[in-house]
Amino acid sequence: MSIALFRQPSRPHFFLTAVEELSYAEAASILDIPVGTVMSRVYRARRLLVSRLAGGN
Amino acid sequence: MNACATHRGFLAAIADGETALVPADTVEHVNHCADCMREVRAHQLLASKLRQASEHLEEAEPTRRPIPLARPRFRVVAASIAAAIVLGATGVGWLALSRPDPVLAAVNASSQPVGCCRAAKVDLGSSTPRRALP
Repeated sequence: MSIALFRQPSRPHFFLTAVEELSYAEAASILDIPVGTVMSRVYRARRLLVSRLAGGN
Repeated sequence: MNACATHRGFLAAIADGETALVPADTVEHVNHCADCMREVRAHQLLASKLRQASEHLEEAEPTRRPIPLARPRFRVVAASIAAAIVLGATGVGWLALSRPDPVLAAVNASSQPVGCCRAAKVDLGSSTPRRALP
């Protein structure tokens, strides 16, 4: 799957929110990072996924 | 467009319903911006597709399924093979125990008196005819 495309920092955030359907606060608690970091990394991961899918890669 | 750039980082959060984390002015902007709203919908569509894909993967993943018990026919075959192995091992052990111990046989043979020389004692004087001296 394209999750493998993500660099290590974005991968757990994306997995926890998109696949495990956790809230940003829950993901932040699990990863022990601020909620804002989860939010920005999820956004970046999704943008990357969309660009890869749009590019056909 | 510059206004959109400042709010873009919150679009995924809005799409995920995490509006409590999003500033009020960003929510206000997205409600009135067609481009941002389009991107929010794209995020929502992507999230739903990912959830469907993960559910599909969970259904297809064989490791999460319970391991079925062996069928009765296979159980009978396995029991027969096990019984044959046990019987074979018992037979080999019986043969090994019933065979005479070569070391014990050698010890017994060496402790018996040697009778071959006494039995072979020959009286040479009686068998050889003596000639009369002239």
